[in-house]
Amino acid sequence: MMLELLPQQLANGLALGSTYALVALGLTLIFGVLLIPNFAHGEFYMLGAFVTYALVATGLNFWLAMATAVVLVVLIGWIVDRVVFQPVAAAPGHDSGGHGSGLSLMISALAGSIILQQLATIIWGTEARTIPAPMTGMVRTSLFTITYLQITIIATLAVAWTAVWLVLHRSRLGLAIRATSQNRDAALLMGISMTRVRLATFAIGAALGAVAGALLGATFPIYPSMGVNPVLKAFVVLVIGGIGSLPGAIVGGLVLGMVEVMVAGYGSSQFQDIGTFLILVAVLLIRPQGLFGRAQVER
Amino acid sequence: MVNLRPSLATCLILGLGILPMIGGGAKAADEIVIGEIHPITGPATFYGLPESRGVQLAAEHINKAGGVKVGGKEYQIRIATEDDQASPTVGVAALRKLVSADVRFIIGPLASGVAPALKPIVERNDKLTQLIDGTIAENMTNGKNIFRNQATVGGYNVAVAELFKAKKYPSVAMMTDRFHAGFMNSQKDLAGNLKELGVSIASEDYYKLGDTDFSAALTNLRGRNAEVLLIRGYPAEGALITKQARQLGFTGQVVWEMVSPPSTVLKNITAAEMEGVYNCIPPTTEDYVKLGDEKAIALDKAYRAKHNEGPGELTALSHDAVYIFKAAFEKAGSLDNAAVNKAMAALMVSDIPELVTRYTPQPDGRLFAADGQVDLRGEVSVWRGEAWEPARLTD
Amino acid sequence: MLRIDNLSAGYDRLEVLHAVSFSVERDAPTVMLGANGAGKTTLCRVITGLIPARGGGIFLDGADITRLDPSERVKRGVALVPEGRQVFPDMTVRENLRLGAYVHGEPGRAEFDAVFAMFPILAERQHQRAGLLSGGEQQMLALARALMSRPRLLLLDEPSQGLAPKAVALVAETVNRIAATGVAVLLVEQNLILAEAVARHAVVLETGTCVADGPASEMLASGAVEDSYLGKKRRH
Repeated sequence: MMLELLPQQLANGLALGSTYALVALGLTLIFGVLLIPNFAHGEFYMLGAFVTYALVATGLNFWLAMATAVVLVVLIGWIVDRVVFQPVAAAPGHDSGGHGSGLSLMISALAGSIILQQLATIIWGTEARTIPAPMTGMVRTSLFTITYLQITIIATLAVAWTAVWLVLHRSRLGLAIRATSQNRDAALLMGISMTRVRLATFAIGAALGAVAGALLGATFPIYPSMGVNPVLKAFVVLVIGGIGSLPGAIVGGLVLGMVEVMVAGYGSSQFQDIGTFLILVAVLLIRPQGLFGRAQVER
Repeated sequence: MVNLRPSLATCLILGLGILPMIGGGAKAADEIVIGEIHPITGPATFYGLPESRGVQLAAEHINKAGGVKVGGKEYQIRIATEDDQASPTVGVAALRKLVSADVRFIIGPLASGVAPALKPIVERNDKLTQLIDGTIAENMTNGKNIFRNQATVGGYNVAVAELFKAKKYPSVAMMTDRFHAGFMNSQKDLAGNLKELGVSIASEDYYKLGDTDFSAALTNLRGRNAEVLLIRGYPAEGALITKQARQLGFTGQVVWEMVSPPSTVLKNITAAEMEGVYNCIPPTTEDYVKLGDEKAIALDKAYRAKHNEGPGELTALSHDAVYIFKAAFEKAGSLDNAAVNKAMAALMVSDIPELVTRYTPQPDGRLFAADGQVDLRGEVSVWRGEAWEPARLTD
Repeated sequence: MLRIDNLSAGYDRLEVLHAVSFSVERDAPTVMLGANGAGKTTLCRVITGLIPARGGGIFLDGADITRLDPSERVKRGVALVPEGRQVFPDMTVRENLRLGAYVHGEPGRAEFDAVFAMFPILAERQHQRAGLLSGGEQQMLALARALMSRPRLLLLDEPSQGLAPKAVALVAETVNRIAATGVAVLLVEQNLILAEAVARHAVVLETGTCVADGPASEMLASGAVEDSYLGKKRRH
């Protein structure tokens, strides 16, 4: 009897996992290239949702609103990097190269996250809001149903991944970003400008966060602290998939979504979160660098 | 050195803030101060703000009609409002602030998380009388100086049982917010009651506040032939669960057990998807209005005139709380807490004709049972169009 | 060509280089000798701009480059083959070479051909991941990558480290060929064989200070070098 439901549970897992992967994609990029555990990624996500909400409320088309939100959140991302992360990197106690220590970067990331949440609270209040869904309806087959919005999210994930892959592997800027992520000092010795790499990385990361926020904000209510849980899930995804690995973020997100759905569907819904941590522990024991991670390169 | 300046400014601001309070204290001779603690901001604003406004409206109304008569003297009621943001720590701070300003009568809080945090403080302070107009968790009152005029979750479950009896539903799948103490503690009893009615419990699933994806548990409903999906928690998740259940092909009856403002519901689900959903809670302010209750209509009118929008689900409870205090003061003939507590415990439902909420009197006619809890029973309402309305179960 | 003038640098509260001065001329490949911890790698990092100078100056053909960004120094012709090679392990050999030419834009066929002529092994392996090359091959790649930036000054930090004697000989031969094309060379090395094979001038660094400076042949014969290694060890 339960096996009949497997196709639907797989569809559920795919839909849920795609949302995790979409949030994790931007996080893993910034972490992988700049070694910043960017907790404020949850706020890029939240601001993507709120800006889209505000623009849709003025009557703008959802997709135009989302595009505008992406641009705005990229600007905010740059400001966050400039105000929150660069001063830490430049502070005494770190070499000129601009590596902050992990701990101080994490603390400043948390501070940035809280400040952005408070700003959003001042502007929009704490009350939950909803972005009118850009589409309704669903595909019903004999095996499973899936909503158009879920299909859109899965498709967006595929498009986002392809776009980021093309930028990283088919452009000079991408070459510089990849070089930086593999060996920052050597990248500097090649004459790569860290400013440009930072700007580009934060732009792509923030844009991915904003897209995720706009799309998921059309599914769930939005509120200033909405980014906190997704970003924690995204860190779990990073550990599963391998920090800094884009395919790792995608596969890690999908694995996490599938495991959660299977645990809740075939075990008990009370254990959904336990499933998350079981897979986390399993990965850490069997493959500590994550599914797609390589053992850390000497830096 | 520079650091001194902000702290100096803080002192000044604090000083300026305290001055009017001292002034207020001096005037206290012909004034009764009632403190109210509600979530004016934060995630539970949609419950808390209409409650706070209900308290204010009742106080204004009483003052205009001559105030409270205690021992041949007339007093005006002044409301001291504190915002607990539905957070236990903020709530405790709010209570301490009221106590330090010598406020001895408290209405609130709303949130199930705040009430247990306040309970030990109030219980130990014999200069406090508290009337809770919120949380439905059991065991929040003591009948000595803590009372409650909101239902307990047991009162909600009465309506659930009534609905299942009337509709003869054969089976139910339950989804419960596992961090809601009230619902969780009563889950076993409710399941037992339903089993006695011949209802088979197809499944019991749990979720938590803030969850957004319920697809795994809801997919399983398909194989379990549950006639009814019973959701026990808060309205945002309730709406998402209802929506996702429909998307996943659940065609049975959806039943809620939660106070759910339509505005909050409609943020998460369309009105069409809500059509026909039952809700088992004590009647809300709006329900009384729809039933044609004159006192409720008057309250509704006054509220709309002042705030340009309709009252909240719980406005009537908060409004009633002020009248319950007034009746207790007058019955006690004193503003001494011990006397007020005693009078409050002895109040008859018939002593307070202004009550909007229809309480079931105790066997001896009193409002509160010995443990300080009112008897307020859930009734079944149904979603029609854009809002809830009282349901008639006979047809 | 390169003039270091009273240069000081360090990390945090620790000063590693104390008022170091010396010069490197185009026609006299220079070796810098010194024990571990003498400050040689720090010196390479200051010259390339990876860490800031705390005092003194760095001059390239008379121009002060002390405060320039690393990328600006690369454009002016400063290239470093860093200690431990530091190739980009997950990129192909060809991508590594493209990165070497990064400041000049996308390299053309002629540039690749020139480098492949010098390092035929890299032509064979150009589509392989750099991390899969042997140590000697990685050293060739690091050298080739530095050449792609069209250097006027080539710094080599311990290029013999971890290499078999045969590979060391190949490095020596290659560096000599590069020097012959008019590129100034500063070799930081502990391996005296490589130093002798390449250098015409030698500088000895001891605990962050220049203690000797002169023609390589004299210096390597004089025992000043041995003092700076062995003598120091004995004292500790």
